[in-house]
This record gives sequence, C-alpha cells and structure tokens, in this order.
Amino acid sequence: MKRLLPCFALLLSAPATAQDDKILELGRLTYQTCVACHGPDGKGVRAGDLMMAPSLHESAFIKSDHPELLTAIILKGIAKQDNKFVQAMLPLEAILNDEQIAALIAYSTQEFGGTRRNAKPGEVSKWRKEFAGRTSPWKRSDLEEMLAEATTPPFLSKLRYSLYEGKWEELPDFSSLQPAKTGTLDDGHLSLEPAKDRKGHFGLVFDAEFTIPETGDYVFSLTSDDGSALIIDGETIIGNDGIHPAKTVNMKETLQAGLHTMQVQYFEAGGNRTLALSVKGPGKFGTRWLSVEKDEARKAAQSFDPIPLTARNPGEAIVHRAFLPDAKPRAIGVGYPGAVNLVWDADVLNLAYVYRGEFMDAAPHWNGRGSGSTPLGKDRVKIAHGMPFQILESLDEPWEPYSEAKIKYERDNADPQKEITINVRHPDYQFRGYRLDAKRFPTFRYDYRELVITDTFTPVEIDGITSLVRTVKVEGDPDEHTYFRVAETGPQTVADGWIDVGGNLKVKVEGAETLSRKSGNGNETLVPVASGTTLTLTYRWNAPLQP
Amino acid sequence: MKRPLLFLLPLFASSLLAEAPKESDYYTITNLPAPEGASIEGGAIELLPDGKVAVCTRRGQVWIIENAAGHPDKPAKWTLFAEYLHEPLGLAWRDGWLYVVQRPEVTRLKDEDGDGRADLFETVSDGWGIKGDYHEYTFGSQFDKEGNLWCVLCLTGSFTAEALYRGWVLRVSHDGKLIPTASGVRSPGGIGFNAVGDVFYTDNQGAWNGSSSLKWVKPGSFQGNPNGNIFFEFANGAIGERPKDPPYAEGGSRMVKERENIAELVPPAVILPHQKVGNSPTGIVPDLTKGKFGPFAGQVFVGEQTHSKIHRVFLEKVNGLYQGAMFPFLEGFKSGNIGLRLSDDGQLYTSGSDRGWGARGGMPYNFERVDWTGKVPFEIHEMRALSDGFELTFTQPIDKSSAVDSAFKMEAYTYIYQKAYGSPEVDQVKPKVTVASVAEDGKSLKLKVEPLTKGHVHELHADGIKAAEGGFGLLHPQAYYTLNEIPE
Repeated sequence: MKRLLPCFALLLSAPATAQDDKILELGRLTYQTCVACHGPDGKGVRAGDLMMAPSLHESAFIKSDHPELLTAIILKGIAKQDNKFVQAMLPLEAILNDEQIAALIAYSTQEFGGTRRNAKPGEVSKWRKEFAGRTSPWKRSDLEEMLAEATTPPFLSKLRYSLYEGKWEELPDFSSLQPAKTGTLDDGHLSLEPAKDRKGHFGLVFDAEFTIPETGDYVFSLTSDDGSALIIDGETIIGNDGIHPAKTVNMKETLQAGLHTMQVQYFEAGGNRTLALSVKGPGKFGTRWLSVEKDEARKAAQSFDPIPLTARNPGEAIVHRAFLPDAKPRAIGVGYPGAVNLVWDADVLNLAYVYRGEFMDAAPHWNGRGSGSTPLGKDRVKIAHGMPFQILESLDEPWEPYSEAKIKYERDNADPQKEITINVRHPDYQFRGYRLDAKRFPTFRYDYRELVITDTFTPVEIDGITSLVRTVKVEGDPDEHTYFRVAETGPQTVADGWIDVGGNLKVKVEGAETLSRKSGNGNETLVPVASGTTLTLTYRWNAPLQP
Repeated sequence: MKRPLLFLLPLFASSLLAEAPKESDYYTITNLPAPEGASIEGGAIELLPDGKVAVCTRRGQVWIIENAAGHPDKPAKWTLFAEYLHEPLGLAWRDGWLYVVQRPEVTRLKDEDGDGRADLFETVSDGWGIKGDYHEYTFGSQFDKEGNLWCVLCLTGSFTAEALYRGWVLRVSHDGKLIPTASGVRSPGGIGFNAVGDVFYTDNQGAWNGSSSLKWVKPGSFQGNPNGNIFFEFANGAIGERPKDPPYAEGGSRMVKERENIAELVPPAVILPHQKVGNSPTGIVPDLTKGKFGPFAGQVFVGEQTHSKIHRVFLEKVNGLYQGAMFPFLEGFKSGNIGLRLSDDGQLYTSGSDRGWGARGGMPYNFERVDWTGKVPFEIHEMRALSDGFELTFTQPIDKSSAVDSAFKMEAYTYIYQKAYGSPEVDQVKPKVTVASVAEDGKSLKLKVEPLTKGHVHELHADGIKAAEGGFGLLHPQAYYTLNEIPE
C-alpha cells in the first residue's frame, strides 16, 4: 500500500496545473449546491425507501463526453415525473454563473464519472444562449433522446454539397448546371451554412450515403422554404417544389436493409429560408434528424401565413363555405361591405352569429389537410342554436333542440357497442341553396314543411353604426300556431322596441308582434307567423366598431 | 485512322436509333399554368358542351378554361365561375347547370345575369351527414344514363363513421332524389365509369383495405369496411338488410374466404399493389375516344396522387364479378393527380394537389393535359384470365422467338382482410409460367400458369418479350392481375 500511494498521487497530480486545481476547487465548492440530494459521494441520498436523486456514478450523462448536455441539465433542471425520486432537479441557471457550471462539470465528471470532461466558460455561455428558449425543466425522455442523438454516429455519411447560383421558381435540372462551390459536411447533417453569405437565388444539392439497419417502413419528413426534393437510390420520394413558406411533406417508403444513396435538392428564391429533414423508422430506430435545423423548421411549417379573404370587387360580399367554429359543419360565412359579417348555418337553417371587422382567415382551411377557416374581427354575438320555426300548440311547449338521433356505434379500436349520438337533420326542413344579387349578397332559401322561406341580409348604417337588416319572408300558408324564434340569447330586455340579445347587440322586429317567454334558464322572443308574413329584423351593436 | 472511323459510323448510327423508347415518345404532358394568384388544386374536371373545360379546386373555386386543348399554341383563357365552395370533388354538366359535389351537398350552379360568374347555387341534395372532420370528403361522378350522380363518402376518420352514410355510395338524381347504393367504403379518391357505364371507385389502403384498389360499385354491394354499416337502419331497405360483419378478431381473414360468408361482399376489381405502383389512387375515366387517344379504347385510366402518375386498367367480367389487370401508363406529372377527364377528341386532362399528403411531382398543384403523339407504344394491351393461365394481347406484333418461358416471371400474393391498418403481401405463391401458344400474327399469346390462385394478385413481369419491329422490350413489362374468379 505504501508503495502504491505515491504512484497514485503522482497519477492524479501529473497532468494537473495550478489552473486546473482552481477549477476543481471551484467545482467542489459549487457541488455543495447538489449534496442535499446527490450526496457528498455522488451516490444519491436515501429518503426512506426512495432516493432523493439518482447516483451520479450510474449516470450516462456524467459518463458521456457531452458537456453541453450536462450544461442543459444544470441550467434547466429535470421535472418530477413519477415517484422514482423524491425530488425534481431544480433549474440552476439563475444561481450559477458560467465559470461555476464549467467547474461543476469538471469536478463531477472526474469524481463520479471516472473521466474528466472539460467545458470552457465561453462554451457554457454559448450553450446557455442556445437553450434560452426552453422555459420548463427537461423530461427524462427529452434528455435520453438528446443523449442518444449525441452519441449515435451520424445517419448520413460521405455528405457532400454543391452550391448553385440562379433565379428559379422551381427546382432546376442541377445536373446541367455548374456549381459555384462544392464541399463536404463531415458532421453528417444537411445545412444551409454553405449559403450563409448568399441573400437568395441559390440552390444546394446534397449527396450522401446511408445504411438502413433493418428492412421496414421509414417515414421521411422534408420541410423547406422554398422548394426541395428527396431522391433515394435515384428515385424521387418527396417533391416539395415551388416557391412557398416553410412546408412539410411526409412520405413513407419501404427500404431494404443495407446501403442506400440519398440526394436532397433545394433552392431558395428570397425571404425566409429553411431546410429540415428527418426520418422515422421501425422500433428502436426512432426519429433521426438528418439536418442541422430541427423543430424550428417544423414549427414554422405548422404556422401558416394568414390568408385574409377580401371581396373581389369593392362593395361586394364574400360567401365562404368551410368548417367554421361555433356552427355546424354546413356553415356559410358571409362578409359584407361595411365590415359586418355573419355565419349562416345550413344545418340549422338559421343565423348562427354576427360579428364585425375583418371577415375570415382561410389559412387553416387551405393549408395542410384543412381544418376549417377562422373568422377574424370581433364583437361576435351568437344568435341561434336551434331551428327557426316551430308549431307550438301551447306556449308551454318547449322549443325543440337541434335534431339528433342516437345509434349504436361500432368502432374498430374501442368499445364495439358504445352508444353515440349522430345529428340527423330535422325532417321538416330542407335547405335549397342561395342566390347572389348584383352585389353578391346571398338570399338563403329553404323549405319548412309546406312553406318556402327566404332569408336575406343587408348592411345598413344606422346612426353611424353599420347594422344588419335581415328579411325573413314566408311564402305559403303556415299551419296554425307556427312561430319564428327571434331571440334565444341574452337578457332580452326591451327598450324602445330594441331587444337586448347580449354582447352589446340588440334586435328590432318589424312585421309581427313579439312575445317573450321563459325557456330553460333564459328567455325566448317569438313571433307568430301567418300567411304572407315578412319579418324585418335589424341587428345593431350599441357602439361603433373600435379599430 | 480514316478507315476504322468509317467502319464505326454505321454502328454509331444504329446505336442512336436503338435508344430505348420512353413514355414521352407516345404521350406528352403539357402544363397549363394557373392564372396569376390562383391555386388550381383540382378536385374534378368536366367537359362543357362548347369545348370549354371546367375544373373545381380543393380551395373551392370553379374555373372555366377556353382553349385548354390548344394551349400553348392558342393560349388557354381562364375565367373564375364560382369560388369559396366547400372542397368540391365532383363536377358534372347537365341541361345548362353545372353540378358541383361539395363536402356538404350536391349544388347546381348557373350564371343567370350573364356576367360569367355563377349567381344561383341550388342545393340538389344534402342527404348525408358531416361531423366536421377533414376526412369527410365527398367525391362525385358525372351523370349516368339514368341522370344520376354517384357520390362516394369517406369515413369520418381513418376508422370511424360518425355521421349519416359515411362510408357509403349514394346516387343523387339530377332533381334531388337520394338513392343509397352501396356500403363498405373506407377512404375514396375518385368515382367514375368504365366503358360500358358500370361505376367504379378507388379506395385507399388502410383498415379493411390491405392495399389500395379499384372497386366495382355494384348496387347493393358491401365493399368491405363495416364501419358505415350502422346506417342500414336509416336506409329504409334501399339496399336490403345489413350484411354480416367480417371477422374483427386479431389476425383477420382473407377477402376470398369472407366472400363465402358475406353474400353482399364484392372484392376489389383490380388491386393496385400498395407502394409498388402507388399509394393513393384517385380519379377514374374510361377511354371512349375510339382510338383518338391511342390503342387503349374501352380501357380505364386511374389517377395516382402520391406517385404523380396515371395507371391503365383492363377490366373483364368473370362469373359475374369484375376483375382485371393494372399496367403502368404515364408518370412525371407536376403534382398529385386527383381529377381526370378524357375528351372524345383524345385530350386527357388531370389536375390535383399535394396538400396534406404529399406527391412526388413536387408542385403544390397542377393542371396538365396528356396528348397522344400518334405513335403506338409497345405494350401489353390486354391480360385476360383463362382456366389455366392468362392470354396476353399486344399493341404491336411481338418477335415470336422472344416468347419463351424464361421471358416471363410471375409471383402471386394476396392481403390480409382485417380491421388493422393495411397489410403486408401474404400467402406468396411462385407459379410456373410456360408459353402455351403464340398467335400466328404475333399479337397475342397464351400463358399456362401453375397454379392459378383464386383471390390473388398475379404479378407478371414480361421482361424478355421483344417487339417484332425494332426489337425493343415492352415499354412497361409489368402487369398486376387480380384473379377474383378463375374462368371455367
């Protein structure tokens, strides 16, 4: 033992300099922040049957040569996801400076990992900036993914690029062009770095090889702004061509185990630029990023540039059919001149809501698979949930809810006998469409029992406030006790003939006497309908539209 | 030095002549650029009586194009007829009305004031449900001989039918009568006719569809996906009683077996092997040009969105069921073809988009025209089932000496019929192919295939067959025959 000791001391001290000692000493002091949970020996502190925190001797992060990941953990902490450990790891970014973090990494990797890993305070500073966008502690799965990615050799090998100059609207035939510059990307990730000094009007072609570990389905996901294409073994797998904002195209391909070639073609006209590529494979393969750009590109591709709809000619209305919020799927949006808008529901045959300001953003409807349009503007007031007409033998009879049928619903992946409700439209009603006048204002038409109903709206300025005048015309002889429901929302108090329907909106009715009644928790305003009834309803906000 | 050069010259010339034929020698694709600012994500195309062409787009526009056939010599002129409709995927002209099949309804459009824009939008039928899921597409055909449009309704999602008649084919008469016609649909991409007016639709690989395929809409049939069968109780017996359910158990079954248990089950007429030939079949058009579009009169063309292609299909009826072969036809379109229409004069129009699913073409949308150059490609013209093999006919006489057994390779396989998504190719068979006879004129031959497997796709590669003239191989040596029935 005696003999060995000097040797041991020599080993430890031989590479050390005075500077290193100072770093390790600072690390040892900084580690005092950690001992309450990780213990002075780094083996973790017991708390009954549980541990306060894991042993650092077992940590793959401490063992790895990735000080950037240790920095990430120290800065942001780790969330408590289960009862495996008593404590969450607290984020230390506000407590420790860059020197302290660098020293802590040196100390803990040497003491608990067996191999000292060095990080310079300047590097820690850089990583601090890179992780600045992360506002919550890591999940363990995040960190495991980061480690896997950092420690797996790059998927692409022999990655070369060729940079071209030119003004294109779609991918040119690069094989007929001379590159301005060529080079290799040794870290195996596609990057727009080779074109960092170009303002636009360039193209890049990347060529690489890759090995597929096991035959199976691989989903490639290519995001670009502007155009791009993915070619595997000489066959175009993904086309994402043309000038467009960041757009993602996914494609599943069955690939055989073994060596393959890949080419990615890309061009940029001007403005924003993005290129990201990932591949998801079966089982353990997981998702691998083949580009320097990652989630940022994906996020950019999911947020669409707005497409506000405006009338083709001044003074004209827009009639827009799409899935719209707060209405049934057969919704019809109408934007009128004067910045008043409405949604008319061809399922319910009634005015769903009115609103003011800008009309509609079609971007979510016209991008991706299309989730429906988004009404813009403000001051939205719901008018009707239910059907417009009903026969009430007595005023004690309730107004029917929207028609529904319950059926047994069998679903492959769920309870095969679950009961669900499907909407079946009311048998008394049939939508007949609409006619546009010279200003493209629609008149909606539908049948109610033996009656033909038309429903027209006109924007009218009343005392400086653009209001909507609605004309409901009844053709035919109604059954006795047929009523039209004017209002089903708001307090419905009446002042000067104006009925308050909530949301700073009121409605006035001409053409029949109104009557009001209690309905569930609220009120209803009805009018009786007779042969030749034409109702004029004026919807007016209490104040002008605020810009 | 001079001599050897002179000697080499004829060799060089003949090697130039011997350049292998390519698709564009026979069929050219012409792009018709969209008007400024418009996205022509074509969903369906219709031919108007005055030679104009109409296209409706996924963004809800209807454009009318003049000089579509003559572009670019006579530039096409585009006029916006209507816009902001709900993702229309069907377009049909009748009696001065343009019928549009939108997601929620069949609407007929007319321009009454003559300003070139539609002003009358009459709802012809809206007798089906929508829950609000983007999958709930409605594709429409042109009018059949009885004056009906055929509409095919996608399920609510990939697996469920949550609104009335999702997963059904409905007929809508020109005056608005709704006729429930077939059930069992999953995710259609188009609906149209064959040359004799029977109706087919394309369905995409997924639950209960091992592969994408072209399916025959026999009235009263069950197409295989049971999710929509809950709506039989609303159909008032229009197509009889609800069919028996196929087996939900893990591991599934085979279509050929379940046909024996479920009387209404009609198997896919022609399977379009998933991933091998495409991922997403779409519009269907018959070739009624009587030869103006080349040698394939009476056959059917089918669009393919993902691979930006058009397939060719030969159909025959055996023991009361449609079956036949799919051949590659033409690739290289700029986007994902959805709508297809072939004029009697032989212009094939296609339009589509890559939105939401991606397409190899790479552009976000396309409107393209295919013209026949007048040259006849060397192709397998027809592939018919025989009791002991297949008969192949060719568009040009073959070099009879090339018709040897080793010129052909065949494998046969089927798919699992199951509730899970898709299926691998299973039950592989390697049949032995021998040449039984070659016709005197070299335009057809008979293959003996041992064994033939009922229900299997018989994938043929005729790589060794050469044309009598020029000695070239087939432009497309592959054929995929779906053998629902083996003839007597």
